[in-house]
Amino acid sequence: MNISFILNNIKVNTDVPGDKPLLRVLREDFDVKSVKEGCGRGECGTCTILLDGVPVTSCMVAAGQVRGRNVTTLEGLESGGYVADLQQVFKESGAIQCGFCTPGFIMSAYALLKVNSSPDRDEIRQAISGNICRCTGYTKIIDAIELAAKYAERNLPEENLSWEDLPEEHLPEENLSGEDLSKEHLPEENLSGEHLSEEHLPGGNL
Amino acid sequence: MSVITPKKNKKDRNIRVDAQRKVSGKAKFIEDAEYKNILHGATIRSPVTHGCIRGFKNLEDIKKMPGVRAVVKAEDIPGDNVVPFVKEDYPCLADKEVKFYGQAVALVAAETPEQAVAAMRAAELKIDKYPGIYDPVEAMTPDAVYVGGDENVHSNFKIRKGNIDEGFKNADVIIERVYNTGHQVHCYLENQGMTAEPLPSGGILVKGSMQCPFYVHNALVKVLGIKYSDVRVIQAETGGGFGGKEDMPSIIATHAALLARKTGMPVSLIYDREEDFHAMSKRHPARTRIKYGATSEGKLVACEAEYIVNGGAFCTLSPIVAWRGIIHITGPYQIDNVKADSYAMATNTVPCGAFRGFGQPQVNFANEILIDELAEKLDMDPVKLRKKNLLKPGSITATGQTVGSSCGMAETVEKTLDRIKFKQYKGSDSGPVKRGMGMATVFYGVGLGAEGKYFAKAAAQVHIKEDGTVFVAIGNVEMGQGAETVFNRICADILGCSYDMVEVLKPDTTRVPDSGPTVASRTTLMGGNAVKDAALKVRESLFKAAADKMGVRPFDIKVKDGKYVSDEGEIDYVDAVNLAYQSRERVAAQGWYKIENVSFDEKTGLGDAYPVYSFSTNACEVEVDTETGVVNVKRLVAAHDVGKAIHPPSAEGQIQGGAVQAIGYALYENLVMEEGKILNPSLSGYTVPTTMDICDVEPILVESAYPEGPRGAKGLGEPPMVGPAAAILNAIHDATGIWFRKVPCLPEDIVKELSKELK
Ligand code: FES
Ligand code: FES
Repeated sequence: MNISFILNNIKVNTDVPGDKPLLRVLREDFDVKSVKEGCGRGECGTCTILLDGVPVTSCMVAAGQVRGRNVTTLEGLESGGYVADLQQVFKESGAIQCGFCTPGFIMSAYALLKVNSSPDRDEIRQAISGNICRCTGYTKIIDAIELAAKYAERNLPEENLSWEDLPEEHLPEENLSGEDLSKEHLPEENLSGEHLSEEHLPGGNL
Repeated sequence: MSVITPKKNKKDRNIRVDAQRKVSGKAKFIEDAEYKNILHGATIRSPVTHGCIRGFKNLEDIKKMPGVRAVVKAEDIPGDNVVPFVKEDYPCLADKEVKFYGQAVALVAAETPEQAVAAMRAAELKIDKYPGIYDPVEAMTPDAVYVGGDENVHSNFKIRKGNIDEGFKNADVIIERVYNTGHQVHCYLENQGMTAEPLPSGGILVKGSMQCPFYVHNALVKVLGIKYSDVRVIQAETGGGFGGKEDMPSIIATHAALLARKTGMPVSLIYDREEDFHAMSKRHPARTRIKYGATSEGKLVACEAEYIVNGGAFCTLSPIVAWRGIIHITGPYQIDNVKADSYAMATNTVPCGAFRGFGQPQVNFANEILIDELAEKLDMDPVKLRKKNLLKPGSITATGQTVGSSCGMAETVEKTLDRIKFKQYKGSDSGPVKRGMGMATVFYGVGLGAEGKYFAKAAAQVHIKEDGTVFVAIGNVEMGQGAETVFNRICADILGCSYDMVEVLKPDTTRVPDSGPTVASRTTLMGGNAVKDAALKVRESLFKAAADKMGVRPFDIKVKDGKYVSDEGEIDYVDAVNLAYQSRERVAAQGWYKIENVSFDEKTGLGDAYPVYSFSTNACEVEVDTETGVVNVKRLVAAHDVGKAIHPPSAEGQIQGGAVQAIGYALYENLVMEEGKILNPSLSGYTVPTTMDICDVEPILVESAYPEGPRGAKGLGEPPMVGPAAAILNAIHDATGIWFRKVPCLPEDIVKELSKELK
């Protein structure tokens, strides 16, 4: 089955069985390796990606379902300063141990912060409840996301998609050519480390 | 020459050395291995828990299936058909007898993963079914089906100290209870996996997810029947281990290697979650019976205990688990009269092996609940009862070992109770949701101790390049616990260079001598000391070169802020490296650390069991919904005496992660087996805690330096998993007045007991 979709803001095209899990399409056909397989059954969140901006477990999405849609992985976010900040706080907060769950958590956290710029700890818990981490006990991951929200507070990307009113306009056909992809899918690049003043940086209480 | 100073900024210091590659998704786990022509393996497994294999029904058909390149059976093994663990009873591939559901019988390699799985699924075995035995206590009965070991005993140990009868005679109060703990599954997020590649020399290169590259190396030598020098094992990024990647990777590695040898091609063998559940090791289920005797003042005078663990079909690491359990079974208390026995039993269930805590969570669960119940019987505050008996420097342990100066036991109690503002509710809440608090204390012998003294050694190499950057090669692995960062910090701080100049290489068994396994919370102590030894040797060269330049003696030099300083001036680290290069001083060195033999008598179970102990205290507050039986852990505080924390954020992370695994052990993780077969082999069937199930864990680091440890550090990986389960069940008792004596303690258990209470 020939399937075209937008992968990390580039129009791509592949010939795979329509029921092949997107997780495997990404890893095997496009060499996107940040997407990990922890269970292959929608139970662990290590394969989380954004499908039209919404976090989903890519092992549960069939290749045929992404035709014409927007698929974003950690690799695709990397050009934006915003995710760099998120990564930075994960590093500084000690939110990473074995790292196998980390890309999935970053994707879920990114999706949360896009729709809720100042989540409280319970909202964070809720947003990452589909991601399992067996190493950290979660506390430092929640710390990191809370901190990321503080970083972002002043400089949040304008466009604030809410989950309900996301889809249609962003959907299919009309914007399938690579050039037409508007920047609106990307966070504004105004959160680079330099703009952050010392007092917003975590000192930790160690 | 540029000036290099160690990073002063706390934010930078907090960042682990492996953080960047992991946060960017670029860390290469074994599933990310890149090979052009790689075959995919699958394992044909026993569909029965006990039986005899009479061959395949359709072997020729399978060989002809699309893409299939090879099928390997037991008779194709060139070396010995055994994966060496403590004993040599575990066949690499079952020959005739299969002893558990999911035991590996044969292997297939095919061009795609789907083809391999299709062939594996199509395989039909001719099997005679035998009756099985699944309960360790039943396995002890004289007419039980024989599974393995000596009359179904894989191993047993005992402790005989003082005079147990006299001890109980002197007791005013005696209490005896039995506790049951279930299987626990590691659920490392990355499933097990290996690749194997034939080398042009005729040898084999194996890469994969593992804790113990040298175990894997040994197994490959044994199974392939080749020389040590024909084997090369490299650890890939490892997505969590918790003990589950201690012994099991040896099996997968030999399987992948057999297929690679047979086909002459690289082979990848990566498990899916369900296969990992069925075939890989678990925490031993246990039945622990303890009897305490105490005076009316609350002095513990006698302890009798029996610890029976279900080792499963093969012995693997059961002896070490059963040994660690019995050494710690009395709890962290000085008791003069001790009689204890432990048995690891063989049954037709999946072999149990290492899991964080290694036999200790089971016994701690028992003794720490029993001590609370004893306090109730004595009408004494449980904190007070503990304090009267807790180990302190100079105390004598159950095995007669004197506790050394590094003992922060009392301080961990104080700090924990203080932080949580410990008080007991005694069921005082009137509504349906009742609050309760509980605590548990822990002592933990660091390393493998007397039972594993062969491994009490580690090696490392430190090699400085011309620009001052450094390679550290060591045989202990990073698996998430932070070992790379610890080695990095130890080396950089000794040399006086910045952290980003030191790179810790992935372990490669052809590059460093055997450092022993990465288990038992031994890595910081053993590996850290080996790195320290090597770094100090290389630094001697730098000191010598710098001293010559400054016209002082090498021992006049101190390292300060990245500079080598003497009364005559100072030289930057990089300049010292340069001088050393110019004067042809040694810039690479091998480090070695071993623990001198300790005295331990197997017959009595007395002597110095471990070189040093870590101490910790856990306390928690819970809410029990008496209508639904749901327990919420609202707060959990854990103070750990770690000697010295080399990288505090990682130390805290170990405490938090271990405590959450323990919350899962206590309340959620329920592996259901029927007739030896696992019924819920998935992350939705077997639920590990998510963010919705847990509270924030509050770690406290207590530092009581261990003079032998690198910078005073002891081990920390495992202790966090040990104590919380008992603390939680003690808190449930405080809330409800009911003593629960099993984990997992599920809502239905609680509702059931509460309704009995009402009747
Ligand atoms: S791999 Fe997709 S949720 Fe686990
Ligand atoms: S860091 Fe290992 S699973 Fe999250």
